Amino acid sequence: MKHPHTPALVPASTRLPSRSRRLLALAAPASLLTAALPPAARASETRLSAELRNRKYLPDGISIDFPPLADTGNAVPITVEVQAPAGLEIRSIEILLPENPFPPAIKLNLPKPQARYRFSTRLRLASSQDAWVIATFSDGSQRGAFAPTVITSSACFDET
Amino acid sequence: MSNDYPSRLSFVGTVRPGNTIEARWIIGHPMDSGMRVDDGGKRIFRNIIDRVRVRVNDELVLDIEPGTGLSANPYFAFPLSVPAQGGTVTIDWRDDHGRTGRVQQVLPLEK
Repeated sequence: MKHPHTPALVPASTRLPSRSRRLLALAAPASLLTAALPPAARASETRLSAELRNRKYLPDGISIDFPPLADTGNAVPITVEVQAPAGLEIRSIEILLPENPFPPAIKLNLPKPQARYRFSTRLRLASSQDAWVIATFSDGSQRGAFAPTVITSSACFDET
Repeated sequence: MSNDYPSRLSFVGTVRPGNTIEARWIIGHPMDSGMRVDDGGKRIFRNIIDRVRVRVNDELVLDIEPGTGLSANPYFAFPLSVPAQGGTVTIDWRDDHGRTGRVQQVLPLEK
């Protein structure tokens, strides 16, 4: 399969000098395909994807370790670390996969609220998408962040 | 019971009272999403682990609600704080077919 960032797709007239192009290619990965495109350009997107972006969650204190390119969606490792804002504690952390047939992937309820929490698991992805992490704190407020990934073959549906 | 589903629980870090260690748990479960069909074209019903509860000395420390978005053979890594007297970590799970399983391990306290 052709890599989405193959330079030959860019008309010669618009090509940057080669050094800059290399730098651009390094910086590009998945963000070019998803985050950088205007909403209208993302043709088949579920309503949840758009809604999550419209909620304008504050991403502070949430860090997500997620591969920008995963070959298959069968088992994509993710590590999430949440730091609660000062004076608050984490009550629950949820991962949503808006382009999956059933978006809620996992929810962790913390019976003893904690100021900091870090966990890892492996996700099953139906298509390239943004994985959303939403943390709920002791006062009921929420923060959310996402990490995009590109996959080249789907899990969830039978194609194998 | 749970013997059809092999699982492994391990601890990373220094197991000493007051320390926070990382627990890693993996279980061999198909986590059927309900979206697949078998060779004869029949639908394979959803069968995922839909609830996991982690206790340290009978005190609930983590309550996980997995969905179909987790991979087969699900893996979880999460922090645990080691109680002063040490103790036992118990993980209880349940799947859509009503099977349940329990994994229990004593925290190997280090001097």
